[in-house]
Amino acid sequence: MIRKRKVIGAIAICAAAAGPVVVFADTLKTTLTNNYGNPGALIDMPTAESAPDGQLSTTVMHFDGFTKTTLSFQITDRLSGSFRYAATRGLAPGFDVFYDRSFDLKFRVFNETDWTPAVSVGLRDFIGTGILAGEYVVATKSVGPRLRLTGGVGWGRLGSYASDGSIGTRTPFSFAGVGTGGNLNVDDWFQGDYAFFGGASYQISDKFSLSAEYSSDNYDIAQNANITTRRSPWNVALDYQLRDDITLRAFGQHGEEIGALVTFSLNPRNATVPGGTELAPLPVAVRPAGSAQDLGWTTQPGSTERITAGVDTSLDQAGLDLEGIKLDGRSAHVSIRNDRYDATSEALGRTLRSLSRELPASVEELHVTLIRNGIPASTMSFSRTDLERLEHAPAREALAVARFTDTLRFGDYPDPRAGIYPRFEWSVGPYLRTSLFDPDNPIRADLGARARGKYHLGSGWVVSGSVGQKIVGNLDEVTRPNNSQLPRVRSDVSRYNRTDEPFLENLTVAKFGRLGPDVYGRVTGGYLERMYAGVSGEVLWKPVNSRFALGAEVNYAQPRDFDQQFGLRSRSTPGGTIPEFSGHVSAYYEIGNGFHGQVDAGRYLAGDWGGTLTLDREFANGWKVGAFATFTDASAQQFGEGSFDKGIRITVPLSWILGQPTTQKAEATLRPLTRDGGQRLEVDERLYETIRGSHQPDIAKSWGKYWR
Amino acid sequence: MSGNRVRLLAVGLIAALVATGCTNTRQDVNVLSVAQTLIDARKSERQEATEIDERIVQAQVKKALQSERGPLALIRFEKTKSVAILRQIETNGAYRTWSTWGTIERRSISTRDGVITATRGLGSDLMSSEISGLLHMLTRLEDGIAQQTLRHLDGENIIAETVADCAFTPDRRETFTSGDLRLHATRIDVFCKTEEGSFSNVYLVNGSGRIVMSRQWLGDGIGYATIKALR
Repeated sequence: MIRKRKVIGAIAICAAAAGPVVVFADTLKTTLTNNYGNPGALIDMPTAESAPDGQLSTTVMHFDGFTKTTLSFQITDRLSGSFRYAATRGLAPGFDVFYDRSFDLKFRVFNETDWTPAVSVGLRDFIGTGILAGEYVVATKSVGPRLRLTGGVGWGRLGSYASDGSIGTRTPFSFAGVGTGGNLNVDDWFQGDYAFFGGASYQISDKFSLSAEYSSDNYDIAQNANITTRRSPWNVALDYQLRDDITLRAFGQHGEEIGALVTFSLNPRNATVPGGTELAPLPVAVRPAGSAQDLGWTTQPGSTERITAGVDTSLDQAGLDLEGIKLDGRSAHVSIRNDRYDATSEALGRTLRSLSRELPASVEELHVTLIRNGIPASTMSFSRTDLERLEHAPAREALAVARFTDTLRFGDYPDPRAGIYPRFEWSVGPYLRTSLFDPDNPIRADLGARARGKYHLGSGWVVSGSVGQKIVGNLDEVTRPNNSQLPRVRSDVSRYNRTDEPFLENLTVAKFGRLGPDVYGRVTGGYLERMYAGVSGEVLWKPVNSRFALGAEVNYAQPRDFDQQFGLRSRSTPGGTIPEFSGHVSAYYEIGNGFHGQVDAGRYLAGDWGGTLTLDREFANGWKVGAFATFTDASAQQFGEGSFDKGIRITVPLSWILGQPTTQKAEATLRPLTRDGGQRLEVDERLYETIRGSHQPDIAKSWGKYWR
Repeated sequence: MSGNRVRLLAVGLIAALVATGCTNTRQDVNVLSVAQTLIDARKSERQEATEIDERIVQAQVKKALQSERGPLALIRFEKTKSVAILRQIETNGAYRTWSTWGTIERRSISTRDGVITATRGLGSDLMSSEISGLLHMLTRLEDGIAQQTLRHLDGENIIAETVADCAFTPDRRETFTSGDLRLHATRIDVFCKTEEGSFSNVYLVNGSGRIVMSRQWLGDGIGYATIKALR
């Protein structure tokens, strides 16, 4: 039986032990994570192993007084990143439990060969308080399919036991020196005492594996606080693979402690059902030879109406909406709205299949305009002969002949049919709002109900609103004093959470429009988001075949009352006056290899000036995992704990889970802290994300679904 | 990583984040349908595929032959043990597209000269195939080697090609009975090797070169399927 390529990567270790042994040059992959949540089979010490590309794992580790929860992502084949939330009982004076956030990076410099080990370089806690800070160079070599040996040298915490020497100087850690945290202490990296560490891991069976290490971390801070005793540098662990996506581990540490660890993992590249389980599309109808000459239908009264009705029904059955249609003897142009298929290519493919079955044989040129929020986002042209010729050919051949044009450059597009506008959309559902990392209670949440309505008036005019009602939750228990030194643009969030009345999330009138070829515009006014009301205007330049786009946004905003009804409140706050105007210029670039970058520069909500850098790994199936950081002229002192705004964001397409096409997705942004610096207005349906799905580079990514 | 399990793990979090109770839009995925998917996944994990009684199949075949005039075929999937009668719904050059007879649920397969080249709506679909070399070998009825390409969507919705090198071994002649057909055909065993594994297909070719039966591997997800002409 054949094993798919992608599966091989994910279960390399198991395959080696259980099934037919598959040997690759670079099999040094693991789905295990260590106590720090980093990919690797040892306990506290790092290895040069990597997780399979794209692997996303959550690791929870606990031993007496110490808990670490880590989210790790294999950003590329060689680079992995981790975000950690550590809780330590009695670690620091003045804290019952000391909570600390930290980030790690690990890069594999050399791949393993037959004779040489893989070598990785890593940074632990390189941008937090530095309590866990350590740097290392580590080598791992597999010996046969089951045994892996690791040796390395570490600095910082990893150089704190049985140090073998010293390079330069390193600022020793002290709680007093933590300050606001969030600093890149580049000067300290790979400096100070260094020590050697090592270990081995052994795959006993497809379920069990064993590892042992010699640790160079002396746990100085914890030992000084008398919360742990380190009697031995030797640590051991036993892993049990409970399911493909869950691993359990028991470990013994320091000759003193017994601990446990659980790893949950998933990989965005492994969909529930590859290709989806949606029903078959219509087969392409091939015209009989010679029939294309027959233009008789054009002279028949009522034929256009009959054809329109046929196309409308056929598209409706495919889950698509026909907004307009223009027919002449040789060509047809339809404008469609796609609210069903997350892969736009599939919506286009199904539209053309329908057209092939409904249009008279003389129609050769097919044009499909994608409508987003009432405005044309792109026009795709495909000849009917090609459609017939390529139905059973590789998808890439269809991509090669599909032409994408800016609708305004293409020329005219069909007017909306009678009855398309106005159109009302509504939805009712639950909502979940969370507050993470509050030292008083690291996880808080509100659950409630939300009703949304959207009224499409046509020509890009959209009225939308959303009301909510909390049902149960504890977000109102937040009692942290707000000591922000900046205008309190976001840090008063807990006051917004205290309402038990129905609240108005947003109520806006928006106008989307085309300002010219390649140029899009948006103006949104009203109650923009739960904290602000105002007007937001945006312009986007994005050629239809370009991976590059530029945008600009200007906002006028007034803070809303904490009860989130219709009232506004004063702009003056203890930290300063909230400015009325904010705005940005933005550049977007599809870098390639699955990466997407965005740079924003401008004035943030609190009046601070600066820029935001965002980098996302975007999978063709819609998964996105990214990180952002905002640096503004608000000083670390003014910003407070964390020093600057940063975070991680994840988008999960619901189709990936359900195996059914849907444009619904889950989006989550994880910030270590939300403060007042580097904050932006949250406006719905910013242009870039609204438009890009209809443009060639995005459509081409999942083009495989064109014939699906 | 097995699909259902991934789903079970991820779904709680995600359902909570995006679920809609009900809506009038095309985004009709709601909390309940997420839950339903989960239940179905659990069920199918527990359920054993059961063989369908051959007498029922033959009775249905008879019914189909009586009521339908066009080409008909019978398909069996080994993994799910499911059986379906297919009727031709469209042709495109050498390709024929078939859909299940007797149901309106749209799942389809496409064939070229009796060999399955694509499936739709089965999950883990075979998107397209390159089988010119294979067809050439099948008509020659000689030992030999030819290449075959299968294309699937991977978990990212990107086309993944599986190129197989196949060895053809014509075997004995046998009697083939299926629906209205009763004829002599040569059995050809085809052993294919890919980068990561192997599969064994079987074809029956009659005297005039028609492929009347084909047992084919259609990919990891679907496994083996056998299609037989019924007339």
